[in-house]
Amino acid sequence: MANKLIMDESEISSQEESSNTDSTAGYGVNKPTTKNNSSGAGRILWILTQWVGFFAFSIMFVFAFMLYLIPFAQNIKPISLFSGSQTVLLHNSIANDQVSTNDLLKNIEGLRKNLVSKTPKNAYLIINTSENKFQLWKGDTQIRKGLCSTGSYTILKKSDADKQWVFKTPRGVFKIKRKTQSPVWVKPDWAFIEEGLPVPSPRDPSRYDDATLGDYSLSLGDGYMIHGTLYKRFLGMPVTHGCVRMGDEDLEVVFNNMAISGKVFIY
Amino acid sequence: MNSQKTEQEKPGKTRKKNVRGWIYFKVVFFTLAFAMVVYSLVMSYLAPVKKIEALTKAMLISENDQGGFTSISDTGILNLLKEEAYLKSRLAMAAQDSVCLNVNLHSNLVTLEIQGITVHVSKISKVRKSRLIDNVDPQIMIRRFSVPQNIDSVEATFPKLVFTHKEAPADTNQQSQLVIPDTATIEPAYLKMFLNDDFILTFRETGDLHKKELNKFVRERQWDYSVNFLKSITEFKVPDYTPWIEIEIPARDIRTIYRSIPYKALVTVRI
Repeated sequence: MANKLIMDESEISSQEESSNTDSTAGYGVNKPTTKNNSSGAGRILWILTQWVGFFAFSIMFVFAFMLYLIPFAQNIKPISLFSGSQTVLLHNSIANDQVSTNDLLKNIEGLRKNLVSKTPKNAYLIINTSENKFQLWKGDTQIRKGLCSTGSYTILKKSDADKQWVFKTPRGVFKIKRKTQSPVWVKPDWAFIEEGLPVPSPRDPSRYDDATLGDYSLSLGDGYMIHGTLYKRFLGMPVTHGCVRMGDEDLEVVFNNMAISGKVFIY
Repeated sequence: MNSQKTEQEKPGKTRKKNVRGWIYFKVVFFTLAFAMVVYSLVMSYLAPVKKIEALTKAMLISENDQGGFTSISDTGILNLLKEEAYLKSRLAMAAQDSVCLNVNLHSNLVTLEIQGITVHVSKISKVRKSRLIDNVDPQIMIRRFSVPQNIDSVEATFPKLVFTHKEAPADTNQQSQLVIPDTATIEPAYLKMFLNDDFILTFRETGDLHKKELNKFVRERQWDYSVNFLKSITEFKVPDYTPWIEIEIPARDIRTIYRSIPYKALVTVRI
């Protein structure tokens, strides 16, 4: 259509030109008219519009092709066109009863039992460090769930000592190593460094703090604990140095239900 | 008089010739472009077809080694076989100490498991998958997912872990205030996992909250893929195709999954 238009336009203009030439031939002057000027500008405009349209269409088509047509073509229902290995499959087809349904069912039952046997018999704790939530389970019964606080993912760096501490809660399976009532926190070095205090000697009285950990603590090993907190407004947020903090009531239920060597799943 | 007229007619004829040349150029250009588009689309279509053939051949070879292959069409038996494969795979994962991902398209659940214990459950709201998965012999997929797959690499709209760096104060006067994390920030959640057995598992957040950002992310990846695809078809070979599954779950579950699983986590899928 566009081609046709261009041709018509050029035909008309060439006709116009020849008629102009004819009419002016008698005077011996080949003088362009105003009409000729305007049709020339119109033609240039028309060609420009065509080019712009062509480029716009091309760009749109390339985008549609790359982003939609290729994935579309790849997701058309595939049919076998190659060496015919699918046909082999069909020819090899044997009666379904050769696969024993009973054997399958027995096998599945065995696998399910095996999987269920993985569930701890005693109470176990699940801690979600992304959402800072916990669940306490016994078998397939949920005893309690609530908010907790886990590692803040902060890296504390001491510039003059070239030393750093990463405050994150480790993930995986842990066991309760020790249960303590009215625990006393023996402050590690980072607790002083974080506050800009000088680090005291290992047995210095300033290292012992009997107020911060709450009424109970359950040790997971490597210095990590589940304990109470003074900062209850931060429950549900990642603010700790790696330990798991709980509210007083939740902590009491967890303390009373979890046995030594009880499993803690942290993810 | 006549020769003068002929000379004057020349520019018109030249213009007509030019117009004709331009039309020929356009016809040739559009024909070539059309041929290229058709060729690319045919290759796009053939890529999954070739993949099916490759998977089937591999299955036949491995089965012949083990003494023959039985094709099964009974959906009841196939479902039992799927369940058996899925449980086997979960048991293999349960032997691990780390967090594993379990996608059950049968019960529409995505779960995180540690040592066989389900620690996190997310409900799938929508599933999209390659047509290849439903058009290949079901036993191929069953065998494929009867063992856990490893995650090879991951692309996501958000970082796996974000660490805040804090400089220790020199004294108590410099002691920094407690930083309260900004939990109100919600990033768009899109997670694309490339499994080691040539499979793509994608998680996309439900709802339209971040539709624009997610579509942009997806389009960028699709563009890169298409560019590579076009590069590979210039060699006149059917390019490789990777089957995929896209799952829609809530954004917070996607974040939990990505942040919980290890870098090379194990994944099992119940087709």
